[in-house]
Amino acid sequence: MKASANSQLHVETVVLERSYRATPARVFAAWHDVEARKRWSVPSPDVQIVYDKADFRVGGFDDSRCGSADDMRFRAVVLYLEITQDRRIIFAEHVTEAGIARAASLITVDLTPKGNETLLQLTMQISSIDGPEMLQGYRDGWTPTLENLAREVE
Amino acid sequence: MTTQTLNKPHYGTFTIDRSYAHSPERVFRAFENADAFYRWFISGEGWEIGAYSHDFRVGGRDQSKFRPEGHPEWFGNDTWYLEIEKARRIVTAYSMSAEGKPFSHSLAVIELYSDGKGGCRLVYTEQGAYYGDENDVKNRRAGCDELFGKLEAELRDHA
Repeated sequence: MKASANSQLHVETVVLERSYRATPARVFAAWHDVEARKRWSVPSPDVQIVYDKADFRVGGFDDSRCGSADDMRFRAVVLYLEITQDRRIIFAEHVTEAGIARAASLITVDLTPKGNETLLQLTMQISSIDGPEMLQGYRDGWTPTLENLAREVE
Repeated sequence: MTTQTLNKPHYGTFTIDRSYAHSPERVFRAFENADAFYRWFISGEGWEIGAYSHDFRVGGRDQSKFRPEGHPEWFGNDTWYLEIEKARRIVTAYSMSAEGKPFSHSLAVIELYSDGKGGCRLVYTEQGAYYGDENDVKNRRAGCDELFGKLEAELRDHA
């Protein structure tokens, strides 16, 4: 939905959940370790990601580009706001496409142990700039990515 | 607040839509200029300010500490600028804390539009993760609304 009649933002909160046969520590490590993230955080094998900067600490920034090999048109700048070991990560993300601002989001990764599994709840509070497309873009991007994470940690 | 990292945050979104008699360029300057920003955003009657820094550039960080006069604990605001488009849009992320313990994390988008009559429409949209109670979003909205009222006084009283 539009943030208001006078706004160019479309806002939505999207929650995705996935359980993993792994400990919270194992799942947390896959977020912490940028080398692991390069393996699982792209939605499909034809999408590439390059990190120009990675700084996983509160107040630290990641700066990455992704897209097809000959057109890395998306840039994502991530700022870590909360890191609670093995439990929760909260970050803000700003996405540009070919230099044009497309979206900003606040993303919470919440890890809860459930028996031998870990429940991951991904809460994405998204502001899509200039049209609602990025709301669906986040869903389409993160759904396969959370599947990839299973292959990484299980 | 001591067990806050064990509690799950709850989530909320709100928008504030205001009109000012001044241009988007003028309103933007009240965010950009450190002294102006201090006057309307940081300082306030009955508040003690313990620290203030303003680094208005993409990747820059503002830090402030404040408390009601006589209150035992300090509150903190850490704000990072994610996007700055002059007189058009400011995107920030910010964390609020009490005695160094965060109690909220937010994404804030400020949009500025010309109203075609020399004035400005400001739309503030916040999406946040809050560790307090069910009144968090209502209270945060009220606090922001008060600040945007102070911005009106700033625009009126200063060049």
